Amino acid sequence: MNACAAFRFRLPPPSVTALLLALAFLAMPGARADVPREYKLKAAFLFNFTKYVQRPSALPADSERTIVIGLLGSDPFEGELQRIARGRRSGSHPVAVRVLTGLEEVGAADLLFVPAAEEGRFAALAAKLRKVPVLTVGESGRFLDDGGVLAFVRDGDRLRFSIALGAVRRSGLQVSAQLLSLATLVPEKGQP
Amino acid sequence: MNAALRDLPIARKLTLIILLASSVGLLAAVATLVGYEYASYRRSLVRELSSVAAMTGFDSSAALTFSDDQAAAKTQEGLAAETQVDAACLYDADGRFFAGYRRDPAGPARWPDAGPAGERFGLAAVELFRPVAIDRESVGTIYLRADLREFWTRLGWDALIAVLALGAAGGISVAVGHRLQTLVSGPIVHLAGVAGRVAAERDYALRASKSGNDELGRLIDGFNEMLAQIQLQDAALQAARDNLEGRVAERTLQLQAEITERERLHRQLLDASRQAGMAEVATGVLHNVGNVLNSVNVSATLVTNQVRRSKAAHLDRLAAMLREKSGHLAEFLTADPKGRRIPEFLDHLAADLGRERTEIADELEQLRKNIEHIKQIVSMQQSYAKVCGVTEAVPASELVEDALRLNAGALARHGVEVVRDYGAPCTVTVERHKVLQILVNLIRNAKYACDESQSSRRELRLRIEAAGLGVRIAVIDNGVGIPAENLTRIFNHGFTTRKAGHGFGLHSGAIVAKELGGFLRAESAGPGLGAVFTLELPLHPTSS
Repeated sequence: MNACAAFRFRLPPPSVTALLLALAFLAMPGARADVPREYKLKAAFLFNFTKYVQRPSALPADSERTIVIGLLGSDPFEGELQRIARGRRSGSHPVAVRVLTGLEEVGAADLLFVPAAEEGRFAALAAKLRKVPVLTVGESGRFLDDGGVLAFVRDGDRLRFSIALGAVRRSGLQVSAQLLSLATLVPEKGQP
Repeated sequence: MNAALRDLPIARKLTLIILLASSVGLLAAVATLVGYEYASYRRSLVRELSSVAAMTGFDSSAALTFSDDQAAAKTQEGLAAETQVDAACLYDADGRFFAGYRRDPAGPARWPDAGPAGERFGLAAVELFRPVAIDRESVGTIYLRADLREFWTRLGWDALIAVLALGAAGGISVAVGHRLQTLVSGPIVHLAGVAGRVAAERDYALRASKSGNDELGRLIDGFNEMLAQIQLQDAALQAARDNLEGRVAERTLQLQAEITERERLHRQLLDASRQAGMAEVATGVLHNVGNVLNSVNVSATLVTNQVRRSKAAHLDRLAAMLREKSGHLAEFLTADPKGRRIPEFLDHLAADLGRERTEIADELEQLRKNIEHIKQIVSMQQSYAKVCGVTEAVPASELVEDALRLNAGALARHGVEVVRDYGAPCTVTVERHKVLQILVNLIRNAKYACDESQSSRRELRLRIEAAGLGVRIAVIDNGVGIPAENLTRIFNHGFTTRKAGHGFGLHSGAIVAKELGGFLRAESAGPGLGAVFTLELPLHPTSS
């Protein structure tokens, strides 16, 4: 309980209307026929991940700092994520969505989504991002093997996700116990 | 209720009052306590449930966010530790059911629709809705349903303990009150007892004893004082009553004496009136007899003178002369001149004596008639006097005629014209002499009234007419009349307008008329206008 309260305290207040909007999109599959339902869900999840993952406490706190969600190489959401993030805040932070191509840009993101098509490029990046506090999110099980932190997993018609505990530790990110409790945890290599 | 209370003994009433008052007070206290307990239980229950909801909601917020209903269901299973929570569920931000938990999996499967934050207390359970938020952003709603059995059990125990306390307190207050109420009821009961004894035994010497100087003490003082006064008054009353009995006896004796005296006087009066009436009749009779005796006297004197002056004396002288000449009687008769005249003389004498005899016989006949008249009058008087107290049926006109006859002489002498105005003949059954006594008196009065009048024509009218079941005999004169002021007292004893009158006639007349069951009435238009005296009699005497 205490831990929860402390955790909650750290959470910046999100925008209610934005979340409702997001949920509304979730609730209406096929409302935008051009975006597959799976990507809509993934967009919502990506936005929500920012609420449950904090930067290392050693970094200076700035409640007005913009959280940047980077999309590596291309935007498979076709602007859906931008729409979700527009005008909303994750906690107290405004959220920006950018399509990133260069390495230097990748380092400035808080969350980096690697579409399945870009996973090859990520493998090259991974080593550089090892100790950078960036929540890297991929779409396949292999992504975690490449050093990614979190990967979406399809479980029937549910969308779940796995978290690589080793990657989390290395990145220095603080991942909420709640988020962890929902995820399939992948232990560090060499550990039981 | 009130009526039943009213007749209770005062001690029970006081005990009851104490019991009622303390019960009401305690009940109010118990009700307040139980009410307060209920409210605070409710509040703490809501608080507990709220915190459970907050915790569960928080723990489920990530599951809600990431649509992981399995994780949410797992989180809710933690509610098994919260024994009063029966069921719980989560709704997503759109109010759709997301995940649920039941303590009893066989329980009802329906979930309520998501509601706004709040509590709903039913009899068996309380339902609670709380929003689930990540910070201020709502991600869904949590619903909790808690069984109220424990709530009611706790409240029931509270109430039971309160009622037990109430009973104990009531018992104690009644016990104490019962002892203390004698302070108030004791003197009242004592007073009531004394009052009851006073009422039952009429013993005003009893006194109530006093136990203090409060209002009851003053009441008892007042009661004792009243008793003392009653005792005094009772004694005075008794004395007065004893005295009164003596006075009543005395007065009764006096009254009896007075009544006896009155009866005696009344009898005297009746006798006097009867005698007076008889005297009236007697006067009338004697008057008539006197008148007739006058004629008798005249007749007797005439006869006496006639006899004294009778020519019969000449016969003596003729006889002496004849005795002297007895020797030469023939010579004398033929020669002597005296003798020769004797036959002539005898002729004359015979004629004279014959005339004398006729005159005397006439006079004697007159005398006989007068004596016969006297005899009639006397026998009439005797017939009235004789029938005292006996009633007989008589034609009314006969009574009037008798009365007129008794006054006939006087009426004729004073030139009073008698007018008879008799209606249809009728017969009354009366004591004849009593009626006659009245009528004679009335006719006499009428005659006097006519005498005193200046009127040239003196008229006495006698009218007989039927009047209902009786007869009305009116004696009407055109004499001096009666002034109005006298009309009212004309029947009073001793009232008269005549110098020689004794004021008895009309008075006794009225009395007698009443005795006969009728009445006597006087009317007059005023002085000089005559008067009407009316005697009304029943056809048959009444039993009285």
